[in-house]
Amino acid sequence: MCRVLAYLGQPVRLDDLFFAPDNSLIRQTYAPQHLRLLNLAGFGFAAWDPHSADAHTPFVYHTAGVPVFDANLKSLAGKVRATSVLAHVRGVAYTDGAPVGPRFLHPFLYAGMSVTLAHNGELVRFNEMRPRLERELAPAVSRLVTTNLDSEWIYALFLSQLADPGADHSGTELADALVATLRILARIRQECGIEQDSGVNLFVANRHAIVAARYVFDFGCRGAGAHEHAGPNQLEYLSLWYSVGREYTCHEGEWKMVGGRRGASAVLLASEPLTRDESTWLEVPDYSLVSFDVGGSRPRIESRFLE
Amino acid sequence: MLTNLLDRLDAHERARLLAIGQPHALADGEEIARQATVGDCLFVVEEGELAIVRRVPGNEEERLEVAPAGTLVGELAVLDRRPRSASLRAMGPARVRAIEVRAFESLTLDAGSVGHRVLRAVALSLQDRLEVARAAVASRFESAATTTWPCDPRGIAPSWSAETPMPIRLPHGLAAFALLRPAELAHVASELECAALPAGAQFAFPLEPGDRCVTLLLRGAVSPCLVSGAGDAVVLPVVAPGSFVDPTAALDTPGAPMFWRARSAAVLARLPARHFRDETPTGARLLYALCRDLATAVRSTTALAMHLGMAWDGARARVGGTTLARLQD
Repeated sequence: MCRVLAYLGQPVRLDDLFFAPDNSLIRQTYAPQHLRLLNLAGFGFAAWDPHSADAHTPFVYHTAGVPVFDANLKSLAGKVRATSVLAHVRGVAYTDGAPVGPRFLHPFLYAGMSVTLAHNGELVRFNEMRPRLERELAPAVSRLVTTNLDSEWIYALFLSQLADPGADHSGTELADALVATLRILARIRQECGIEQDSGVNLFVANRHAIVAARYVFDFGCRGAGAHEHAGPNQLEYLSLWYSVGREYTCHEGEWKMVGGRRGASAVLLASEPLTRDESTWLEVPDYSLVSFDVGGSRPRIESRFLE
Repeated sequence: MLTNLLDRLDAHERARLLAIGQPHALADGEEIARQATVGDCLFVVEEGELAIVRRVPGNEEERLEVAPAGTLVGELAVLDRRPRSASLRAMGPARVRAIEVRAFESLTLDAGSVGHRVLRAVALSLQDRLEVARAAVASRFESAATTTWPCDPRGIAPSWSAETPMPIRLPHGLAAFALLRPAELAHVASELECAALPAGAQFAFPLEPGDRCVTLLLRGAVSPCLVSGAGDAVVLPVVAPGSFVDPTAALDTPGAPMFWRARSAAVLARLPARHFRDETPTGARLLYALCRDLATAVRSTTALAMHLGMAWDGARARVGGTTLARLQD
C-alpha cells in the first residue's frame, strides 16, 4: 500500500515537505503511522517551481531505491521551492512477482501533458479489466502507455477524459475528469463481474490545481471463496487527510498549516498526516472528492460527494 | 448540548460510578485532556463546566461544546482506543472525577446490574451526541453540498433468513462480538438472521418500539442517510463490516427517521435486542461493543460536520447531477 502527499500554495522547500515533519512522507516509507506495511518500492515527485526555467513544466524525480538513503533526493529537496507538489512512495506486496522498477513509479506524467497522477490502492483483477479499458483510451494517449500497471492505466484513462490533456485545466475540469474516470472503472468492474474491494484514492495535480478522491469500490467485500471470513475486526476505509491555511511553516516545533481556514490559500493532502499530532488535520469524507485551485483571482475550494 | 449522565442514574449507581474515579480540582483554564493524545481515562464533571475545544486546520481553535456538571466527557478515546478528538479545559474553577479505563471496564462488564445500567446510560449519552452531530451535518449540508442520488426513504425491506447468503464464519475477531466468550459467540451466532442486499439498495428499519432486533453489517458497506429539508439525501460516514448499523433497538429508544444505502453488495445480520439486556450473559459485552461503535460514529460524524463547516460555503451549482459547493468569488 502506498503513501501520497500533495501540496498547493505559497512556495515551500521540498525538504520541509518530504523530510522535516515528524511523520514525513520519507519516514512513511519505513514507519507509517496508519499502515502496517512498508513502502519500499520506490519514490517519485512532480513539483512546479514558478521561478524555474520553463515554469509550466514541473521538476520530476523518480527513484526505485529507498528514498531515505537517497543523497541526491535530499540535496535536490533542499534547493527546490515549489508551489504545487505531488509525491508518492510506493508500497507493493512482498512477493517476487510484484512489479517494481523505474517504469512503475508514480506520479505519472507523459511527455507533453500538463497534469500528473498518483494512486493509492489497487484494482483487483485488473488484468481482466484491461481489454475493456483499452477501448476507453484516446488513441493519442493509448500509444503512451508503457506498462500493465493498474495505476498507469488509470492515468491514461483520466487523460482520455480531458478534451486536450496537454492544456491547462481548472480544478473543476480535473475533478469532472476524475469523476468520469471513476464511473468508467465502476462500469467495467460491473461488466467483468468484479465485486471485491479495490481502493482508488487518486491524486491529480497541475501547476495551479490539485484534486483528490477518496474512494473504494465495493468496500467491505473481501475476496470470495468457499469460506469468507467476516473479520478480523472492523475494516478501515482507505485514508485521506487534508489541512488548509495561509502558510505551511514550522510553528512551535511542528510543521503545520497556519493562518486560519477562512481565506485559506494553501492546502496539504496526504494519505496520513505529516505529524504525529493530527490536531490540525481533517479526513476527506469517504466516497468524496476535494478540489483546490489557486489559478484564479482567489483560491477555489470544492467538496463533492460521489455515488 | 451534552446530556446529563448522572441524571440517568439513581443514587446507588451514581455512587458506584464516582467511587471508581479519582477527584481532581481544576483551576480556570486548566487542561485535563489534550487533543491527539492517548486517552486512558474518562471524566465525569462534578462541579463547574469544561470547554471541549478542538484545534482545526489553519491552526485555529474552536470550542465545540460546554460540558456542565453531570456530563461524561473524554469517553470517545477510551472506548474506540483512538487519540483524543478534542481538549478538555476548565471554564472557571471545576471539579471532575477521572475514571481510569480498567476501572470503567471492570464496573461495566463485571459488576452485574449496576454496571449494566451505568453502561446503558453511557450508551444513551453517546446516542444523544451522535444525533447532535448528525443534526450539525444536516444543517451544514444545506449550505454546502448534497449527494447525487434521488432520495427515496421508503426503500426496500430486507428479507431475513436463518440461512446466510454465503458461508460466513464468525471469528472472535468480528468487532461487534469481540468481547464475547466462545460459548456466548456460538449461542449468538445460532440466533442470527441474515439478509443480502444489492449495491445501491436503500432500506430502513421500523420506528415503532416492539419486538425489535439490532442489526449489524457482516459484509459490504452501508451509509446512513438523513433527509434534508430540500428532500435530498444527507450522507453520513460509512459503516464497515463488523459494526452495528442501527443501535436504537438495543437501547429501547425510538428509531431515528433515517434510511441506509448499501454502497456495496451487503450482508446484514440481526439479533434480538434481548441479547443486549442485563438479564442475559451477553448483555454487558454486546452493549460495550455497541458503545465502541457509537464512539466511532460520534467521532466520524463530528469530523464530517467540521469538514462541511470549512470554507466550502457559497453558491451551489450542479454539474452532471453532482452538487458542489464553491467559495464565493
